[in-house]
Order: sequence, then C-alpha cells, then structure tokens
Amino acid sequence: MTTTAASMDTEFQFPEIYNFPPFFTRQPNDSTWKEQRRMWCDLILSYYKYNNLSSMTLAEAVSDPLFNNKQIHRSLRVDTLREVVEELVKQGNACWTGPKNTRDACLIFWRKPEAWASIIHQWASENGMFNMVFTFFELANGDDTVEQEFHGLDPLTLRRALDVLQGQGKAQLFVGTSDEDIGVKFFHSS
Amino acid sequence: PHTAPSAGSPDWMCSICENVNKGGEGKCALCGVPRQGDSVPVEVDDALERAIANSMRQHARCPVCTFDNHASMTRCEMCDSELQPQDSSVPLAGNMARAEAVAGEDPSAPCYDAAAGDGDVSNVELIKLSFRAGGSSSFYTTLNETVNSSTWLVVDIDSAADTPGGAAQAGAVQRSTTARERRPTVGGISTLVSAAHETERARDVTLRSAFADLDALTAMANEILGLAEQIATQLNSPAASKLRKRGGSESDEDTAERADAFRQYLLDLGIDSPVTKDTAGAAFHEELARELCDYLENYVSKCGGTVALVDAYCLYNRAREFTLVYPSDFVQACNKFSALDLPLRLREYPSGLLAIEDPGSASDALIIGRIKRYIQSFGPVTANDLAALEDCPLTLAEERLWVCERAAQVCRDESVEGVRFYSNVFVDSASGSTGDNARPDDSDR
Repeated sequence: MTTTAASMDTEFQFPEIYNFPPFFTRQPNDSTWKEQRRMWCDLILSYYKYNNLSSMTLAEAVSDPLFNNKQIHRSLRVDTLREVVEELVKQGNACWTGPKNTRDACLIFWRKPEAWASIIHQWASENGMFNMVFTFFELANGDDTVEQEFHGLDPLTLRRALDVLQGQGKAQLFVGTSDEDIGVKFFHSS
Repeated sequence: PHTAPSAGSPDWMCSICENVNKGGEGKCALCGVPRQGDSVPVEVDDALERAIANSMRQHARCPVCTFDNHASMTRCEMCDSELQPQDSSVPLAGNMARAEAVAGEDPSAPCYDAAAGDGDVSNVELIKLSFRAGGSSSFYTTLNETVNSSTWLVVDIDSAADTPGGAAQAGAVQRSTTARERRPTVGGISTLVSAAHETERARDVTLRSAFADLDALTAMANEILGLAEQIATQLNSPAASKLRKRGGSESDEDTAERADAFRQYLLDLGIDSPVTKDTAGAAFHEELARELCDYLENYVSKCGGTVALVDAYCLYNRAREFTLVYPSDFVQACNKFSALDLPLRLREYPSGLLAIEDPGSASDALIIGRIKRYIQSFGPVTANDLAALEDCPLTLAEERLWVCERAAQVCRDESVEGVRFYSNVFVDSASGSTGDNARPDDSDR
C-alpha cells in the first residue's frame, strides 16, 4: 500500500495516547469524540510524515501497527477510521481515491498540496527554472531535485501541488497521452 | 396360639376377574361369579389379617355422629359424646347388637350396619324410622327385646364363646357370611358404581375439612394482625417512649434499642391505611404521591438517593399488602412529585430507565465526583464494578456512568472484556495543552 519505501533508522515514537485503551473506541460523547478525532488526525499525519507514506487502503490499514496496538490488544474499527479520514479530507489533509468515489482508499497529505506548491515554486525561482518545461518524472526523480523535499513525492500529490500552482497562475501544465507524460512550465507569480 | 385358617376359609381369588374375596363368600364381590372349586386361595399372613380384622371389628361407633372410635375410647373423638361400653368377650355379637341398638334408640340418626366392617361398601345400610302420632315407645320396647335376646346369634354364640382365638375367628367369619347372604349380594357394575360413590363421598369429606382449616387460618390471620397492631400501639405509647428516654442502665438501653428495631420492622411491614381509589376519589394520584413520598423517603436516602422505579414499585406494593396499586397509577403518582413540591423526583434517563431520586443527594455533580474518585483510586471501572462499589442495581450503575460520559468526564473502552470507563484523557489533555503539539502544516490551514 505504500508507494514510497521509507528508510527507517528508528521506529516511530508513538505518543502516550496510543497506549490508552479508550483511544481505540469511538467515543459516543461529541466533545470527547472531537478531541479523540483530532488526536487521531495528528497521529496519522505525523506517522505518515515520519515514514514518508501517502496512500492508505482503509480495510488493510486497520491491521497496521498504527491502528492496531498489539501491546494492549486494541485496534481501531474501519468505520471509525473512515470518520477520522473524513475529517482529514474536510481539512484538506487527505482525499478519497477509491474507485467510483467509494471511501475505501485515500491519499494522506501530511503536507498539504498548497504547501508543496509553494516549496516547489520556491525551488524553481531559486534555481532559475522559470519558463522551462519539466516532466513530472524529472521533478520527482530527476537529478536536479535530489536534495529537495519533494524528491520522490508520489505522482498524485505532485499533480495536486502543481494544480494549485496552475490555479495561482505560477505554472502551466501540458497534458500528454498518459498521466506520466505531463509537462510543467513555471512562471513568476503574476 | 391359633389354629390354621383351614377351619374358616382363606381369602380366595376369583378365577374370572382376579378380585380377592373374603373367605366366606360364595360369589365374587366384583363380578358376581360363583366361587369355582379351583379358585386360588390368597396367601396372606394370618396373624396380620386377623389383627386387621380385629381392629376393624372392635371399633366403638359413636351413637351420635357414627364416628368409628378406637375400642379403648370412652368418649367420641369427634363429638365428645359418651360411647357405649363394648362387650369385649363377644366382640362381633356385641358390636352388631350395639349397632342395632343405636338404630333403635334414635331412629332418625343414620347408622351403618356393623357388618360393613368387613370393607364391602355394598353392604352399607341406612335405617331411618319416623313415627307419627305415637307408636315409637312400643316399637322401641319390642326392638329392644329382640336386640337383647340376639335371636339371630343363638346358634353360633356357643361355639364362639367356647373357643376363643382362631375358632372364634372362624365362627365370626362364618356368621358374617350368613349375615351377608340374607342381603341380596350385588356384583359387577353396581358394585363398582357404589364404590365410586363411596370414594366421591370420602373426597367430599376431605375437601370440606380442608376448607374448614382454611377458614380457621383466615380467622387466625385476623387475630395475628390485631395482635401486631396492639404491639405497635404499645411500643408507641408514652410508657414505651419513657422507657426509651430513661435508658439509664445498659439493659434498658438494650431493650429500647430492640424496641426501636422492632418498631422499624413493623413500619417496614406495612402501611396502616393505604390510599385507595375509593377513599381518595379524584385526588387519588395526588394522595398516592404524598403517601409514596412519605414511605419512600427514608429508603431512597438509604440507597444513595436513587431507586429504580421498578424496585420502588415492588417495595411499595409489598407494604400495601392487599390493596395493590397498578403500575400506571404508580407512575402517574410519581409524575406528580414535582407539581406537589415533594422532596422526591421521577427521573427518566435517556435510555428509558425510570428512577425515583432525591435531587438533593443524587445530583449529577455528586455522582460524577464520586465516580471520578473511584476511577482515581481503583483505576478504570465497569458498570459491574460500580454496582458493587455503590451497592446499587446494575442498570443504575450503567446509567450513572453514562451520565458521566455525557458530561465528558469519562471515556469508554469497548473490548471483548466489556465496556470499561476511564477518566477522560482526551478532554483533560486538550484543556491542558491546546496547540502545544501543533500538527504538521498547521500554519497552512
């Protein structure tokens, strides 16, 4: 399910709440649930950031260590996880990617596309890349971007980020025959 | 010492219907078939048989109520009237004579023939004589003479008197046979019918006596109630309270304490004059609510301020003894608590559970405070734990935990072991450190 293999020198340090059994039960009380959901959102985002992950298939994810604490024998239910992801989508930190708009799979943006967009645009301006055409592959995997944070970014997130730049008038996308063949040209902010 | 029962005839079994007949019988009592030569004699322990026969024969029948008393009785066990002394030297003759004499003495009194003592119900006879315009005295004299001379026994009486024991026995059996043969012997269906009648009559008697017992019990119950009331008034009397007040010596205090406890029991026992629809009329529910409140107030405070409605209903109805109230009336009365400004309230929990509460001692804040303390000292609790800790019904314990949950004071952990409640770390930590652990890209939103 992960699109990018993460180099894990050290294990992710789970927060204290991860060992609190009620954390894995959907709280019926509204205010309690809001807090619980916020904590789950935080945990998912920091976990995905740490491991540099992006996509999630809900039914498979609930058996991951993130949602299944073997020490206290608790795991999150799929429908509860769906509610959490729903909230992430509402915040712009995730989007549903399941076929036919089903809510079975999603993409987690531990950094929002807008943030990626500004990072990429800054890189372009710093390196004098304006008015030049890049392919997606070059951006994500090219030699020029090895030092950059967005090196190795998964294509869907990258596309989202560039969409944002295009919307701001800072880039132009050239759509080819396939998704891989997209080209992009950066502009000064207009 | 006795001779073998060969002189008399042993009981025999009818070859047709296998009914066991008396030795002297010529026909089967059940099917009326004459005794066959090869009919099987029944082997019965002679001694036992004779003992039974003797005890049957030696009943002293009461002349007034016809009860068969034991031979040793001098007065009737049933009606206490004097029994006629029995001529023990000639048991059967005396018995029969007495039976006839009884019939003569009181013609209107029903009397069984003594010959029925052999257990054959078909031989029961009723003699009733009535006289109009005199003639009774002359009849009586004649009858008396006949009875006294016992003309029908003259032949046998010699042998019976000469040879006591087995021979007498044999003679007696023979005599009873002769007595029987004078009557038309009935067999077959009519015997069965009369046997059925007899059983029915016996059952009737049993039933009547049983119900007589019940009446007696009711009478006694009233007496006991009266007694209890009397004790209660005595305990409430000024003398008793003086005794309690004095309380100087230890024993006095002890008695006073005991008296108090006893009074409490009596109070718990019942309500003196419960409100009913008849007495209260239109104001029934209001009156009921008042009485209910008076009765339940102590109990509710003893139970930590909350009693499930069902429990309260049972308790209250038990106290009312006979004049029970309907559940609907009960709930209506409870609903009037607040309108009547009574100290109790009927509370409906979101789950639908109804409970009677004392709002002063069972406020949510108090409950939440208690449960938080429990969790602090005992760790996470289940409804079971809470029920044990608070000594309250499980349903109430659940409701209390839910009250806490709704107030966001606890949070739940559902697992295979059940639902366990923890103190609410989510809300606590949120209020303690909001924004400290800023999420990634928080600034972007």
